[in-house]
Amino acid sequence: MTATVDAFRLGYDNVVDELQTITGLTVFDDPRNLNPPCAFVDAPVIRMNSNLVFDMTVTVRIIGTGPADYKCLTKLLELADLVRRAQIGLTDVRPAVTTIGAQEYASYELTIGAKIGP
Amino acid sequence: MFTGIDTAGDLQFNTSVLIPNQVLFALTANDLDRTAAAGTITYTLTCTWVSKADVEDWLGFTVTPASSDDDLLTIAVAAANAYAYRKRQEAGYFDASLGTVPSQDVRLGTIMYAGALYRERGSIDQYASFDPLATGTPTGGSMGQIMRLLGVNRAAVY
Repeated sequence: MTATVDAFRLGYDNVVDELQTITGLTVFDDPRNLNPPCAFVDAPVIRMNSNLVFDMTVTVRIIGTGPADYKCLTKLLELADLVRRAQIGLTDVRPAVTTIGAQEYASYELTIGAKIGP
Repeated sequence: MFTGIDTAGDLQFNTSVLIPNQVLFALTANDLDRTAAAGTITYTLTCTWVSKADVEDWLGFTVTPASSDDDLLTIAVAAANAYAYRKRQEAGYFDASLGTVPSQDVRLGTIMYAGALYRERGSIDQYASFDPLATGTPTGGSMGQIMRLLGVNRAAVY
């Protein structure tokens, strides 16, 4: 069996594609294009099980607008819940501050696990 | 000092005699000399350039009617309208209408200022935020853009 070409990139793209099917959630995979409130799919962490099969952990950042007040929090939780309802391997949800360029955003970090194989 | 009216009906002044804080008014009667008035002039300006709905559009959410948030938004909108009109007056603009915003840049500046005031509730130098989400953003960070949009401060000559 031969290893799939570009498996890392395809695995990442598949996760992005899954997220982009969620109605009501605007998903960006390029920090240049951010337009909060939205979801930003960060660079994945990959753990190899073999040369063919690997686990990919993707951090999705739900990014809010304005100061992190109650309105912002509820919007972040609403968007995070859309990802949970999509049932695509969400394992962890935690509050965070995301820095894109020099701009800091109130956000939630969502961890999504995927197993990639040939 | 006002000296009278010429044959064309234009007001005439003696520019070597300066009377500060002078208000000229018409004595609407026949064949009267100039007369000094006594009293106090009061006037109230209520600017309504932007509305709560405008600010809600900018904030990205609507506030619950008849709530404390709604009360605060009403206050913030009134304050921003008054501020925008006064700062532009101080900067030498003659905005013709208190009810119609003079231009769209002024409109956006006023909306942004009202939105910033609303968001600053409970804040002093940084926005009150949930601790794990706090970005440490200082309040008043938008003022540069707001003042550019309003066209103030600029030197004014009277």
